[in-house]
Amino acid sequence: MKFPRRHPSSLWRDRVGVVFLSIVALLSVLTAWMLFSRLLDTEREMDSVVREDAMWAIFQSDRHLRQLESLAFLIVETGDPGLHDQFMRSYDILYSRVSLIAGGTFFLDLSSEGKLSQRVTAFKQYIVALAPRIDALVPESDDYLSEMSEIATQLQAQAQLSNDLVLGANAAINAMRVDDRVLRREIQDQLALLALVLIVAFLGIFALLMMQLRRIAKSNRHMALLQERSRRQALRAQAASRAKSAFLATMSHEIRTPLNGIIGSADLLSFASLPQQHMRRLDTIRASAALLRDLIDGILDFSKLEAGRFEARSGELDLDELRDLMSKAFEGQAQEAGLTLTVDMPSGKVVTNDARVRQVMINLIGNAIKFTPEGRVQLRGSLQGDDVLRIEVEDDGIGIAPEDMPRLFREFSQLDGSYARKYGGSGLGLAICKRIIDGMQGAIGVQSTPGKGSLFWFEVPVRKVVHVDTPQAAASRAAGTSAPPEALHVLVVEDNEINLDVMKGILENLGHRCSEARNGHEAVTFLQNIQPDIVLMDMQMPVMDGVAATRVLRGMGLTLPVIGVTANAFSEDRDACLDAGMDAFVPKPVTNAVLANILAQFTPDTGTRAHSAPGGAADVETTADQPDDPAVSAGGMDNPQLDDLVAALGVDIVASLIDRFEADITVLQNDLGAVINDGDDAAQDDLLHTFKGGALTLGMMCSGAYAQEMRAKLPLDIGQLDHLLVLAQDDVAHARHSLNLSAIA
Amino acid sequence: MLGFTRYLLPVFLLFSAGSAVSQTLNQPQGAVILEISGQVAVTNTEGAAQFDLEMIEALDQLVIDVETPWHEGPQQFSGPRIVDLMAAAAASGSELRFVAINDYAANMPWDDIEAHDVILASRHNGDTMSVRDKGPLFVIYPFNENPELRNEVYYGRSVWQVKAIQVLP
Repeated sequence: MKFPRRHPSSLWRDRVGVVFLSIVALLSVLTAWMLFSRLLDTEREMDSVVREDAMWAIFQSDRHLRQLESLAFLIVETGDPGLHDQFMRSYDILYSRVSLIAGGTFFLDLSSEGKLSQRVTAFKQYIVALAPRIDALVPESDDYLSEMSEIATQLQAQAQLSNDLVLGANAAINAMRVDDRVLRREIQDQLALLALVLIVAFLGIFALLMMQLRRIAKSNRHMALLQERSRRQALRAQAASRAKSAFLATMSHEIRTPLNGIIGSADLLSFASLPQQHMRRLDTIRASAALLRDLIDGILDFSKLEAGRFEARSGELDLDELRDLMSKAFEGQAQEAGLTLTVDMPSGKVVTNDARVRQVMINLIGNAIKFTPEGRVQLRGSLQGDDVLRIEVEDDGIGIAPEDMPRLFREFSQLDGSYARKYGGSGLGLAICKRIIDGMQGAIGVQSTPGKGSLFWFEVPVRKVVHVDTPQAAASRAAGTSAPPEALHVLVVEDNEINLDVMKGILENLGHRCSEARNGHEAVTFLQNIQPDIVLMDMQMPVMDGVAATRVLRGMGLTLPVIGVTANAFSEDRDACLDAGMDAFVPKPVTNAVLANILAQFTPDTGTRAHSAPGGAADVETTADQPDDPAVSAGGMDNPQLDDLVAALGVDIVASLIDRFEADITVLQNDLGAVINDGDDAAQDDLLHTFKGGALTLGMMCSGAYAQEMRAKLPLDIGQLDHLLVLAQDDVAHARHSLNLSAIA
Repeated sequence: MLGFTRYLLPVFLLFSAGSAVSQTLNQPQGAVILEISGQVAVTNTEGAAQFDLEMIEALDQLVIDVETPWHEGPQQFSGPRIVDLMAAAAASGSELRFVAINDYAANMPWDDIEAHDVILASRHNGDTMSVRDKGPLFVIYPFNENPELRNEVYYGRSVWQVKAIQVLP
């Protein structure tokens, strides 16, 4: 989505607009306030002085003047001095009035220089000046009337003036009113204008704010949209990453099974008397297969590493064996690439996470060979003191530019697309190495000069094993070939009939004595009464599974060795076994060699048990040993598990096992058909699990793998069940064919 | 005596309106300057109570310092409270009508004389007032003590050259 380009500038413009309008509004308010206070001041000034109505005063004076004038004329005309007192009273009143009009405080200013005030003053002066003359009047005197006549005439003239004064004052007051009205109207108009400006300014501010709000809301929506989009992308990426990890884990897991077949067969083959040349090749096959399995284990681990989990397990690492292993494994590859491979490794044994150390070394050497066109690849190991193992892999390869170093140990980051085209690979190798070494609290690094070569190194903490070779170590390495083990009493806890028969067969073949229990509960009951030497405990069983049963019997205070048996190679299962108190763990399908080896390790009288080695429980999974009967190894290679069984149990027993399995197929068909109709996923899963156990034990990979695959895709439909049955019949047919071949051999 | 009368008056009026009373009013000896008529209970002439200057000044005198619209600067007036004057004439009503020599007249509600110390001044700065000086009697409100009285209504009630008061029912 595009961002609106004009966004910032219009926002700025809005802001300027708001500020401008705010200033206008503020100025308007200030001006209005000033005008209003001016209006108030005027009013207050008028009120503050005590005033009287000038017009009233002048009019009253005029009235009294006329009264006085008419009294004077009346006295002159009638010649009656009896009116004199009235005349005097009238004058007194006029006098009291006149003294006010020029001196008092009026709305109309009569004290200034104006024409009106001059007239007022003149009028007042005349009346006041008249006082001595009036006071001097004596009614009895002779000249009283003539004097009165003169005063009357003067008063007549003054009355004319007084009339003018009244008219003038009236006019002046009118003018003042008009002026006042004009002023008020002016102020009112200004106020109205200001109010208008104010309203417009506020409307403008309002409009701008609304626009801004809308714009903000819009951009918020836009942000929310982007956020949602990136969230979805992140979810997709996470899902992809999970799918990748799951794929890696699944593939690795799937590869393990046939690989175990290869290893097992190669082991069997190594006991046949082969020409020297073939023997060497066989050794290479065995070493390479072991390396491949380590690599696959590494990838399995990587899925766990990716989830932030790292298992800390340790085992014994024989540096002499390591030297041989690396030489053998990479000799051919190096020669093919025209390179010289030298391996320099100290002697001795150390305790560390041996499989992971091998894995990292394989990765580094593989890289070195891959990226070196010609010259040498050197592998050097050294013990730094007694507690650090340092491994260096030096090559004469293309080297790494300094700026590329930081990206080197990141996931899926081959330095350049062109490397990927030229050299191939996932780009995961160094990342895995780094995670592993980090998980082991070690350090990994590189020194390189472009064009000259690189030196990859890592250092991991180890513990040196002081006694180089103990009897049981030797026994462990060569279990079954020398020092036949004592007869043990073994309790086999297994729900699957075929598996139970197979394990019992192998154990009895090895010379041990067996008891059996069909589930965890039976095992616990058994152990309450009888103490065998060792327990082989299936993980997934009805009623009570292996983990729960182990917890119970450990809770009962039983310390005898318990070995977990599971079809799942994941480390979680291993951890669950060990957490519950098991001593070790073997993967299905159980082979002769594995059983021989594990029983050798847990033979009670040999003292030190492998599982009591410091640093964690023993891992016997990777210890692939030879079967004790090399004579039966000539069977068909398509079902090595079956061959193994034939070797351990004999053709007849295996044939009866296959018959039982075929019978089980019919049972499965009925049972599974029933629960498919019920739609009961858990029941389907249980049936498939049981079937898978039997199938894999007899080496029937097709149907066993399909059953396992279907367990992840429940519920089943009838079509899938039919397919499974067809595969199972095929497997049975193949197995019988192989068995016939073995019998002929 | 006067105080006593003031307080007794309402009770007294209640029982003996129009009949012979114990309270009397002297006959004015000098020139009559004020006649209170209308609702008066004590009279010294037909239907009215007449006063000369001496009788007026015989009542409790109140001195008021005040600024008026009709004089320059602060002035001093003295005279009886109008409410005392009414008591002297045993007058009662709702309104007083003040009449001036020039026949100007203004009405004053009875409440005014009870709420404020309104006097009927006979002296201005210690001297009696001639007609030319707006005498002989001048209604003076205590404007300085009560500035809210400074408006046209109370200026209008401030009658000068008073010659008569009519007590209206």
